[in-house]
Amino acid sequence: MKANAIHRGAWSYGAVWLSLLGFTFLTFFAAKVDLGTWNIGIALAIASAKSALVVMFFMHLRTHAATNRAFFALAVVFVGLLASLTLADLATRLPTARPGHPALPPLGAEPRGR
Amino acid sequence: MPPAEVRAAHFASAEQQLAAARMGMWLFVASEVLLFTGLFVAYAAYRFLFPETFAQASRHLDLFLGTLNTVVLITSSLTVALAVHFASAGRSKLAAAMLAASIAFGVAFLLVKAREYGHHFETRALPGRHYGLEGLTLPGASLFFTLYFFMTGLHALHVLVGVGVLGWVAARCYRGDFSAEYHTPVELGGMYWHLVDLVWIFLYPMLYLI
Repeated sequence: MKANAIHRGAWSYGAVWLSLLGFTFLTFFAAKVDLGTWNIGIALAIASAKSALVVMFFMHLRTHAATNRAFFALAVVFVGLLASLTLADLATRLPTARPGHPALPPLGAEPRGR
Repeated sequence: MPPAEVRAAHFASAEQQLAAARMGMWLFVASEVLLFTGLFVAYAAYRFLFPETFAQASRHLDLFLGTLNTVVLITSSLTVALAVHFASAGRSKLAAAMLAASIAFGVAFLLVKAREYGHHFETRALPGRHYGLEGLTLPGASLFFTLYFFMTGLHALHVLVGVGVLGWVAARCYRGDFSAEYHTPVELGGMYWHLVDLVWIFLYPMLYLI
């Protein structure tokens, strides 16, 4: 490899590093602003963008064989399945099935208000 | 002088051997991602059930140290990427120096983490029945710290292993085992280190920010 090519390659890693730093400060300051439930979404979106940079450029997934991209994409799909189905389950449960809910009256007890 | 080609007999070519090594590493990376996902989802589930408790417990963590460690790990990833880059250009000594810098960053990360853990022990921000943090007695508070210690502890273990891997690769780089043609261990060791960075990229916002 020519010296010029070596330098150019090294500087492109520096650019990725600067973007990662930028995203870190962006997520830091975004968390200081109260946006309600949007905060979590923004933080996870920025984290995903940062990991895409690391995986594609630092780990070279961009130029590795397509099979490897399929492996990684499949892992991401399973992350999504596990997270979304678990949270969907919790979100659609009756409030009585959640921790901290007061005990129900015993079965067969007179309903209140009669 | 390193051998021009390091190839096991059952591979038709050095290219095939490299492709197999990379594929094995990506499979490993995928399985590690899923290992941490189990913990991330457990955290998400309990955060969903105890939102106010988790928000308050999160504020107990030192945001400055968490952010500092994020910058340290990202920078260590840069030096590892540069090490692989220089190794592929046949600049082994420079690669070894970059790996040594990465190890230093990894150790710095662990020292900062140890300082945070020390503070948690002092204030009894601990898992399970050891929990005794003053001012936060909402239900689920000890759960936050169970998950916090499990996630950051498993991650710190990976940092420790990564420091070992980088040390081994750096020593071999320095000794002159690798060349522009063959430096697969540098590449795969580097991928392991980037994985450690990847996990922290998600741990940081989940634990410290939101």
